[in-house]
Amino acid sequence: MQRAVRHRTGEGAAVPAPRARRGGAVLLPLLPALLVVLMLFIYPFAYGLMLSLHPQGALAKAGAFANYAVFFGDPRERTSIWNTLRLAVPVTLLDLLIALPLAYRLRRPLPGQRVITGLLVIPMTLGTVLLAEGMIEFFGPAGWLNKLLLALHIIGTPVQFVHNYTGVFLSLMISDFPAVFLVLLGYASGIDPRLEQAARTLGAGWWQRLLRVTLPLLAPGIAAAAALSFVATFSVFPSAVLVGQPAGETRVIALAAWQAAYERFDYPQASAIAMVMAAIELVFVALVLAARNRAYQGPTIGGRG
Amino acid sequence: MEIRGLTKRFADVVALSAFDLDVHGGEFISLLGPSGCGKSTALNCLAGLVDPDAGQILLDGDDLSPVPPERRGFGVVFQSYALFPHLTVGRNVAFGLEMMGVRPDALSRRVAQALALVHLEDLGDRYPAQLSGGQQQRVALARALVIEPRLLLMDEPLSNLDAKLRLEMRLEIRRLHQTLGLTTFYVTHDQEEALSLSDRIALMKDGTLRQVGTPEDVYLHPQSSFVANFFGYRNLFPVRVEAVRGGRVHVVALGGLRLEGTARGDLAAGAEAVAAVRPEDVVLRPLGDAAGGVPARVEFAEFIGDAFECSVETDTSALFVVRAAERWPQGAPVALRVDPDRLLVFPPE
Amino acid sequence: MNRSVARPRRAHAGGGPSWWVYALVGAFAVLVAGIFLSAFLNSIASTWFGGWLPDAYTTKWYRFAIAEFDLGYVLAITIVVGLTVTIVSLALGVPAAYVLARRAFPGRPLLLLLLILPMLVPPITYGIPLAAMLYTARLGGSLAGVIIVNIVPAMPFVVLIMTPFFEQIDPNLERAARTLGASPWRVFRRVLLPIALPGVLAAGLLILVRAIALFELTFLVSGAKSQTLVVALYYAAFAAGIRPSQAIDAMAVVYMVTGLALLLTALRFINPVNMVIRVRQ
Repeated sequence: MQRAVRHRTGEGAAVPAPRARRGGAVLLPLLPALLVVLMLFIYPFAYGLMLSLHPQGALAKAGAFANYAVFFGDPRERTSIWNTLRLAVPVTLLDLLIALPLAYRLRRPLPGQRVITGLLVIPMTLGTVLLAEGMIEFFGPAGWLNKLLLALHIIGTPVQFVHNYTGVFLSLMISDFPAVFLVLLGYASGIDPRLEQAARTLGAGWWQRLLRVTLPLLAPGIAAAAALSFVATFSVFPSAVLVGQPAGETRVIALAAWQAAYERFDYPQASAIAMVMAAIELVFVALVLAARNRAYQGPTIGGRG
Repeated sequence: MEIRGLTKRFADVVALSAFDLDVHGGEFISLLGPSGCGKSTALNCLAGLVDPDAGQILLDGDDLSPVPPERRGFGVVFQSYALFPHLTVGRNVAFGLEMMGVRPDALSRRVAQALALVHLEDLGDRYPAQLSGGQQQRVALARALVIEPRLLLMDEPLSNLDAKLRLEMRLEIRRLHQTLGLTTFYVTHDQEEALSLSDRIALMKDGTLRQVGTPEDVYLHPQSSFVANFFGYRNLFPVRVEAVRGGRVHVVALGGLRLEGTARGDLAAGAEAVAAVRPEDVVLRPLGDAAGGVPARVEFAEFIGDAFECSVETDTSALFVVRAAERWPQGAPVALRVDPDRLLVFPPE
Repeated sequence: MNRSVARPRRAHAGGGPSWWVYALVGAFAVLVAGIFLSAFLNSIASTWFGGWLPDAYTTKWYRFAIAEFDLGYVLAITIVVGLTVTIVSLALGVPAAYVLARRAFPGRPLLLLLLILPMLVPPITYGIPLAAMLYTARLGGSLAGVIIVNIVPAMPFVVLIMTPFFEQIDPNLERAARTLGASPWRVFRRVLLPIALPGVLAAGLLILVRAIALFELTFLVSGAKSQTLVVALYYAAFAAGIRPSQAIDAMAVVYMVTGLALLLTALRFINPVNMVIRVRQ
């Protein structure tokens, strides 16, 4: 049997061995997975979009965009966007700020590396619900944190950490940080150490190395982490209810969507809100990607023969 | 430069041990040896990228140990080039100058000069990923040279290139050295490179220096069987010394093969030793064709362009690689003769 | 030894002092541990009136929670959902990952992105329309609905993990097997599967952990009889005024122990950093 084996430069070790008569059949195993994604993911999006353009009930005669008009028109609904942004943006920025030096330092293995990453992965996998529930105790007025602060005389009376903005903020910081950190760490450890060594031999001190070599090369990682973090925090839901003030300052957009669907049974409206949510996230990701493209182009492995 | 007693361990491996070397200004010195012999470690110590456990490096009398790599002023060319992927070729080359604070007009002039030096004038705006291996190598070279370093350190710069490119770049490097006269420290495992480029060669094995000398020196007068083997003494036999007479030593190899050679080192009768001879120093004659010689049979002959390389097995089962001018037929009975001057006998390693 | 006096040099070829790393990570660990610990202590406290520790201990809350929240049933549901989702996602995702790793075809990067997308997009955005769809199909509130819904983010995870995994297996192994006369199925069974098995198991474990923790989608689709542990926990916490917090915490502890057990098993086999490094490519 004749076989033409083409060598392919570029990603992966994929060396295709095309047999003309097989053709597309080779891709068959992909099909089920693809179908699932198409039917249960892409299609709901399209369905949701379509649904949102067909308002029900009293709005039925108000035109296709009535749902959106209502959402943006109602100040309480509108503020949900602001409430969510108020949470998502600071959490993303702060987590990035803390995770970046940590990832930078850990790009060379440290003793106990696995323990550290393991420690960080645990809260991430256990989820926000458990975290929120646990926080009610720990951050409560009779909880350990308040007790500690009182004992150290840092505060005079117990501080209200939960059932407000602070509660959700803290919960998001804790659950989001490990993800941001791991992404940054992945990128940081992928930077060829020889590049920094080369920069040293050319006279660059640690600050210059950081600014001129490491950070530009980390830019894709920072962008990825920022995008991931924002998208995750912007869609906050259970913590906003459990440790926040769902009727007030932490009425997030996800909650607004849920209420439309499950309290008012207005699925078109709920879909409209979900679409708005998706759109805002998309805009943010696009902005981040545009910014990173301006900062850097190319791979992180030094030019090699 | 004087290097004294440089030693470095990694975990339980001694990478470098009691490394002593004097390097003169303008000299091109190669560190030659098999993989793992410690040559790259030595280079990294010189560059300051690795802290030696013991030893000193003195440059013009100044101790370099407190000086970090960013202030040593050495040009380093890495094996993998380590070009900054996010900077253009021009910015890569300019990097060192920017660190030194060179003003923009002088900077662009010097960058242009450096690029011209390596024949890459028009590629300043390309990115490293867009260049071929040879071009990347030259950029790495330009980047190291443009800062007008006191010393040039090169870590197997040609090992990632194909054979033809390697030869071309070797000439380039030689030419650059002659033009610029920079003291150069060149690490390689390729003996041909070392022989053609260097003023002096330092051979290393297992972290220690084995021999230092000019190319002719190490090639013609190896001081140990390791060095001899490195430079083409492909026939090596463990032997036992039978007698030492005058400058000559008589040895016997496994199987009873008797040879006469020149001693290199202290050898006493009865001692173990290693005998070495080059393929080109072994002569084949048809068996029975007058004056003596060791009886043997030709296993096969390979054509290598300007001669034939024959694998010859003696009646005592010793295998020789012999360089011959004509193709000996397979199985031909021959007589092997070796000039005692050309057979070297070394104490064992 | 032969060193000059002052060495104003960088400490190590690592990038500087590292105590603050341990300090930061330590603080984080203490915080998280504190949070879980206080929940745990509360769950075994008979009364806790505001001291540092409970006044007395009991296990009655666990019995209460098991009865009140029907924990046994919920746990069973959770396990069933978790296992089914894992198996189905593996069955769908592993072949897809294999094809993506081995075959090059036009649009491959796009297809890879498409398959991974559900994992990157927050569930709420597509969850509501998806729930609407399932309710119209009469699957809303049922166990099948919960399983289906959880497959959507789980399968991409398999693809994400397994594709670089397959890429790293030398294709020449398969070719060697073929030249020795093995049919594609045989190659899969005797060569690929044994090599891929550790990766598949590791991925499976991770999916199980994630499936158990995944909240939003199950929340949108589950009915009273098909709640997983995390959703039941949410509902209980939501009704905190009515239910004793100790019982809720008891349930939280059960959830935590289950999740931790699985996670720690998974962590023994995988290093999360390696995963992320491969993933970002």
